[in-house]
Amino acid sequence: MKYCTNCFLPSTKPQLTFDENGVCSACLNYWNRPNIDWKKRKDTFLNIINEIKKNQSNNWDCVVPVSGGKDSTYQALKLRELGLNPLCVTATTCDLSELGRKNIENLKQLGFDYIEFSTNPLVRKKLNRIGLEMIGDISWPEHISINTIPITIALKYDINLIIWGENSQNEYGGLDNAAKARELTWEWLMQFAGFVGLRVSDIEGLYGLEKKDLIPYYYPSMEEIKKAKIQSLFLGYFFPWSGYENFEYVMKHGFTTYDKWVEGSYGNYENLDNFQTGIHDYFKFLKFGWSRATDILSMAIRRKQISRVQAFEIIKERDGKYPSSYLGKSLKQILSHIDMSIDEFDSICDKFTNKDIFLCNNKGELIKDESKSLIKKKYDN
Amino acid sequence: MEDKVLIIDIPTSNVGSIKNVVCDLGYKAIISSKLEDIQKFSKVILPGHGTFPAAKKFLQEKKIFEYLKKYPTDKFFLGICVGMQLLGSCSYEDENTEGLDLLKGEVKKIPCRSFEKLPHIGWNQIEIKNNQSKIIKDINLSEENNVYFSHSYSLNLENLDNIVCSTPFGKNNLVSVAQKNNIFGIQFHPEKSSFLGKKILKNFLDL
Amino acid sequence: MLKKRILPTLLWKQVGIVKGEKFNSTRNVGSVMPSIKIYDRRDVDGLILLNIDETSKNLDPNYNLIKEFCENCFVPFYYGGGIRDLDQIYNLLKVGIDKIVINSFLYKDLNFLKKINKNFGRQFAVISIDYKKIDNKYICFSENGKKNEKIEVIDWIKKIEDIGTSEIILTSIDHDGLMRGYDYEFIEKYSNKIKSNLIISGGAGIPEDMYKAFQFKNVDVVAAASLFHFKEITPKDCKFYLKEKKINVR
Repeated sequence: MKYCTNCFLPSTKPQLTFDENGVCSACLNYWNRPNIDWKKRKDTFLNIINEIKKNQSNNWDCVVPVSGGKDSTYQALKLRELGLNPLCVTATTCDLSELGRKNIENLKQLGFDYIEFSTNPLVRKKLNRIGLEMIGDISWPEHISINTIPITIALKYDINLIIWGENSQNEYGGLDNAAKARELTWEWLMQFAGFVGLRVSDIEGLYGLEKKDLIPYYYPSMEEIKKAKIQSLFLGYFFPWSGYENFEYVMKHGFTTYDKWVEGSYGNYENLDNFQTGIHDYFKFLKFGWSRATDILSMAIRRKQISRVQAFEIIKERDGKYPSSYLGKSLKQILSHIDMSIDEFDSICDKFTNKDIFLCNNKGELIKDESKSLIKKKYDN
Repeated sequence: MEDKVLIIDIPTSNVGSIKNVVCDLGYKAIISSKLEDIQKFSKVILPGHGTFPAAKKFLQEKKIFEYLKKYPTDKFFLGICVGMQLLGSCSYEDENTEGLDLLKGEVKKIPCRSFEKLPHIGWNQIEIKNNQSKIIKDINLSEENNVYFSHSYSLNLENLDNIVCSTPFGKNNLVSVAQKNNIFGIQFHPEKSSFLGKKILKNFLDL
Repeated sequence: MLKKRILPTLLWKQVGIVKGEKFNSTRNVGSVMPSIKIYDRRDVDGLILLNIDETSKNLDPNYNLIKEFCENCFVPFYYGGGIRDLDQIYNLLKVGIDKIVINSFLYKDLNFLKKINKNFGRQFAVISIDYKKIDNKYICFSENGKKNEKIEVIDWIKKIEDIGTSEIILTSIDHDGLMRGYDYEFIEKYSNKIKSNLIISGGAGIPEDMYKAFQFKNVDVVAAASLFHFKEITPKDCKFYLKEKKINVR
């Protein structure tokens, strides 16, 4: 396992590549930004908007998938500023926090037509459990629903433009051609939207779930999407994206942050809506050896907001710690939401841990500290 | 109904695989090659991998062979793959070797038809010849009929009444499931044969 | 009737599952356990896990980890990667592996195959042969495609079959990971000269590629990796296609 010589993203991260100096593709993408003709891209986007406006007058111009978080709030406001009339669509998250609810209502109050699609919570709990047991990802149903529901709604309302936020392959370092993509295609979705290869069809029959319980999760067919000529674009392709700048922008528009740094993370303005995010991030750490704090601090290093040395200290202290609480709610309470005990949770954790990257005793068992956290074999090159 | 079964620990066998499935079916599996352990359990599985002579040699060295030859009639015994072949009278694999003689018959190399290859590896179907046998209770072959084989030799039974299922492979079809009273043999690997295999194995465990 | 099989292949390095392209496998695509669980859930015909990690090639397999994989895999499970002694094989069997895949070590010691057959029977070891086409000849390569063994595939197969084996996996390095189809030229030329059960690997991109491979009667099994990781195609989708084309699959 090696680390980027600039930020702290590790070689275990899927799709990440490194150049001959050991610099990762996320850093290289960021450094390449000044070479991009942003004016041309902005003009391209404005042309797309003009075309839309020529053709439709009684309908919304686009669907913008939102969560109420800093990025999607920024997206909705930005699109309106650019002259579009968007329909905001939220696929309700797995375990919505009060803070998450507050920010959703705030977005609505900023003046948008808004569809909030809540999936059957009893089904969702089972899917969280299945995601955790089968592929070590409690957020699997969330990845599916936030990618599927906006497009389903776009089809139903005859809106043929969906505008997403960032291309995660670009922001977080991925394959070159995927990172440069302006469009979210099915191929992109399959590889990068966090489905981990697990399809909805794979889980039919588990825990008594039938097709009729899983309707919101089935992705529309390619034929339907092509026939409706749906275009799915990344806003981050047309305008330089910055999570921190988005945050500063939305703070002026009623957004509420957490009152301290979020557990396992760096900062108080990201991932405030879903209590299960701590578990999701923890499993990323178990499988690959890096988590939320590393992501955010790596972005901060790229933007020269923090030195590598300072970031290292914070990462060691906060990244990948056992998620005994998230946004102040205890792990026990969070797990009881999906009827799971801590013991069961712990054994699932061990099952998905890549033991090659953590310290083990001579029986091959993982070594855990007093907070039940694991210790990596190395934290830097 | 006892919830424990003993799997004889033959070093060249896939005991790990069988144990996993037995546990998954809700039973406890003890793996051992000690005679005193084998005598304690009312259900014993003799797994299969490796060659007949090597497996027999191991059983003899562990002093289990003689006990198994006179296996108690009030207990249940299942031989899988080479384990099933060991139930036979003798085998011609490598050298002529005597078996446990619990199911009378000889173990010989499968005589292939022109389009077949040995070993017989992969998924093939079973055909029920004796639908009274408890080991194939509640099996619905129209839903799913594929089990996993991996062998070159098979047991040719003298008494055709002992044949529970056969499989269309080889010039003479081969015996895929056999039973004589409390002694059962499965030529394929039920632990690797998906739903059908698990159901058959469960039928044995439920006896 | 014995069915034709499709075996997904997982390439495993320390970082996780990787994707190969002409045997350059730098693209990390995810962690091992989820993949195993998904394929188990999909009830595939069998699963091949190959450890191609160079840093651990002289070490024993990680039995604890492999044991955990086996506990989550109820389909026939093949494992390969640096196997070179009988103890390793005993231990792998013990933790739940069903078949061992051997490649590079045999070029150093072909007698090892005799020992395996003697101890474990002929149906246990699966021989994997990677090859490239050089000057119109098909030449064997070992060490994850790095070392030219200077022997033609068909000659090597003859040596293997003289000793005896159950299945042979033939992987075309030139076609690997490109998802443009299997090496039909090779299959046409040599598949009917091979007596063992034949597994073709390297290049599958669409179900039709598998159909084309099965047109050669002697091909019993196809293996695929990239196809299942990077397209919406599952092994089941491939089987539906093959069934429609009257290929006998499970």
